[in-house]
Amino acid sequence: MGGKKSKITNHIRRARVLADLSQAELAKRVGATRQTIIAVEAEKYAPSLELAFRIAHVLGEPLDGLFIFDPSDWTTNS
Amino acid sequence: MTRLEDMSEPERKSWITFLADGAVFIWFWKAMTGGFGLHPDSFEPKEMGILFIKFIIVTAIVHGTIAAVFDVRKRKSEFQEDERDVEIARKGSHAGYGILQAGIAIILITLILQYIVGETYQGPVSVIEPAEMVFALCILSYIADLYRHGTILWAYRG
Repeated sequence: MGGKKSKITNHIRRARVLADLSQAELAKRVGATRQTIIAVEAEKYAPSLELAFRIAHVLGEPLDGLFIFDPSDWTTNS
Repeated sequence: MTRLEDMSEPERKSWITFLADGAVFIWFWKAMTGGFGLHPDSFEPKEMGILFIKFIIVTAIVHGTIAAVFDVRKRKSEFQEDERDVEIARKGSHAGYGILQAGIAIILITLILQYIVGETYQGPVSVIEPAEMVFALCILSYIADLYRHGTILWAYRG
C-alpha cells in the first residue's frame, strides 16, 4: 500500500491478459475497485486472502501459481 | 498523483476534504489571530458568534466549490469502495487520532500550568481565556483532520 512494494509478488497482469480481461472487468468480477487491481498488479498492495482467492478463481489459476511469497527477507525469532 | 478520473470514491473525498479544510484552516487562523500568530485576538461574545457564522458559511462555500470541481471529472464505477480503501481509511484515522491525543495532552498540560502558575505564566501558548481555548481546540481539530487526510492521500500515491 502506498507506493511500498509488497513482499508478495504476483502474475496477475499476465494471467489477466491471457484471460482477455481488462483491469476494470476483473475489478467488477472480483468485487473490487479498478484502483485496487492496479495496486495489486503493481505489487503495491497485498490483497486479503479472500480477494486473492476471488482473483485466482476468476482468472482460473491456482492461488499459489498466481501469488508468490519470497521468504528470503522474512525473518522470525521462533 | 492519480488522475481525477482514476480516483476511487474515498480518495476523491479525501482530496476534497484535504483541500477544503486546508483553505478554511488558513482563513480561520488568519481571522482569529489577525495574522498567523499563536495568540487569538480578543473577541466579544457577539463578535465570536459572528465569526463562527462566517466560518460555517466559508466552510460550506469552499467545500461545495471544490466538490463541484471534482464532480465534473468523476467516473462512475461499479464499486465505490473495497478492502484497500477501508485499510487506507483505518490507517488515516489511526494517524489522525494520534495527533488529536497529543494535541489534547498539550492543551491540558498548558491549562494546568496556567492554573497553577497563575498570572506569572509566560508560555508561548495560552488557553485560559474562552477565545484562546476555542482557537486551540479548532486548530487542533484541523491539524488532526489534515494529517488524517494527508496520511490517506499518501497511502494512495503511486
